[in-house]
Amino acid sequence: MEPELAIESHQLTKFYGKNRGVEDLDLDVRRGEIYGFVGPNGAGKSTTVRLLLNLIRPTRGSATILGMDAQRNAKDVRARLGYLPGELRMYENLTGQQLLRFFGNVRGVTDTTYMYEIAERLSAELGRRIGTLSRGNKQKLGVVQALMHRPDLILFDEATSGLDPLMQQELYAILDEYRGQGGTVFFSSHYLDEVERICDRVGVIRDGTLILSDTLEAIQEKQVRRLRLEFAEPPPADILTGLSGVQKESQDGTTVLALVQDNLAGALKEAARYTVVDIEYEERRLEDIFLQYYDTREETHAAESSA
Amino acid sequence: MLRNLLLKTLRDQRIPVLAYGLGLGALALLIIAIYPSFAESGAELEEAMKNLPDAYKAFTGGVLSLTEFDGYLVSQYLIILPLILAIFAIIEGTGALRGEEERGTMDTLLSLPIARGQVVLQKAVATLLSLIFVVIIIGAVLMVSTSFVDEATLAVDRLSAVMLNTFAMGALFYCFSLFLSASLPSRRLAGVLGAVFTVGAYFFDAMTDIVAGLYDYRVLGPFNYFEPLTILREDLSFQNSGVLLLASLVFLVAAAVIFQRRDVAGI
Repeated sequence: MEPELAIESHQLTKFYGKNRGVEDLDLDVRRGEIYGFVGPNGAGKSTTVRLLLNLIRPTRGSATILGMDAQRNAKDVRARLGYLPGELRMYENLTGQQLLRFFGNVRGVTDTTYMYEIAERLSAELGRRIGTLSRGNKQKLGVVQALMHRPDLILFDEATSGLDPLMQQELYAILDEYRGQGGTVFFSSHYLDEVERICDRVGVIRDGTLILSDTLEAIQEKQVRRLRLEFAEPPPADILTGLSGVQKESQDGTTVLALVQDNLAGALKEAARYTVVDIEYEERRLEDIFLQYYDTREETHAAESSA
Repeated sequence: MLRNLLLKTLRDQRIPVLAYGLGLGALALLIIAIYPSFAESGAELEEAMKNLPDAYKAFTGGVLSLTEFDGYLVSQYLIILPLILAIFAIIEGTGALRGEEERGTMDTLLSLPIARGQVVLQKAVATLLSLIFVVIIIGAVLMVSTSFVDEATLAVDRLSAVMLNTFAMGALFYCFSLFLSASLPSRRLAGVLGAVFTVGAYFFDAMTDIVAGLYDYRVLGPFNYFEPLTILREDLSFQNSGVLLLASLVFLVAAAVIFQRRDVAGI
């Protein structure tokens, strides 16, 4: 029976000398989902991907991929995954066609129908030498080679960099279909809008530590959002006070502002006792949440440093 | 040619292999073509050779006579073959692992279902085959060209043994460079050390003939096991080539073990 988790890591840690790459990373990526792995440059995203690929060895901890140990069964693991780094470097003396033939042969791909289908959808230029291709066209080849053998898991590390918006949309569509067929994607990126667009769950990494991992909805629900209520008549001064999960910010005549964390229903129920003429409930995008996490952490760091 | 890494490596090396084989073959042709004029000079050359300093003679393979074809061929051509092959061996050896990491292609290669040991082995076998192609071309040119020059004769078995000895030297330089490529943090450093090792080994071997105290240590240098003149004149032995190939195997295994255990450098 196939394991439920496509990627599972326990206290996965990598130090480069005294410098921390990642530390105590506990990942759980479920089969059939697109897991967004976000963080700014240098946060540890690529280190994580390279650990999962067994390109670098952990200082401590372990990772299991598709039920197999990432180190001991590295070759078997790689037979079932596709990989696309952000800075894809390939053999520049080969044409795209030759590169795909070589990769296909090593991977044991006999049916190339899917490979050509993906190449066509991405308008990949297969006849030209790779050395003459633009970064975006190289990246298209990278996508094709990562998907050509219909892997069970794809590791994308800043994969859409270099692709134009149309090709990005096409790639998202391909990944949607891939997920629909049961495929799993580990999607490392610092483009939050694309993570929001295609990912089911998100992990946020900062300074090598996973600080958050959940579904996008759950993350958004946990966030403090601003609620603005406009009443027909000025409501009582104690409206929205004493409600758990709700912090009243201000009241100015008929306008009441409050910060709501996880009790929107309670706030609306109390407001409904009066005549509400308008409601605004702030939408929190991943970018806001991400920045909030980073800002908070920065402040904490600053406070720790000054202490 | 793209069925596996071994064939791809052979494909990548086809132009340098042809260039080396044909270039060194053309040089062999030239050397043999002018041999009759050397042979005619006979006694004068012999006399001049005797007056050369010992150090010079040591650096040209210890050959005492240029008028005899085997001595002429060794001193003018065969003695420098390992050094020329070493350039190819060092470029390929250092490029195979650290070079590919620095170019950024190793990450993608190792995302394929191919073990690191296989990467080392397939690249090494391909390059050793390339070296064999080069020495076969050289051997064939030598064999064919000497048949047109009356004064020049080479026995097939002895020439084959010399070519094997030459290949074994190339193999050693390649495997040592591969070992450096697996062990050192940059291709440039590996290349520099590979070149220092090659040239240093050549000088060391020559010095053992000149400096009395070094003679007992000559077995430590690879050129001690490169004896084309001895093979052509006296001893049709494969022992020296065996020692070189064994040492090559040790460096190859060490390269594979080190590369298996260490982190692959990213870009």
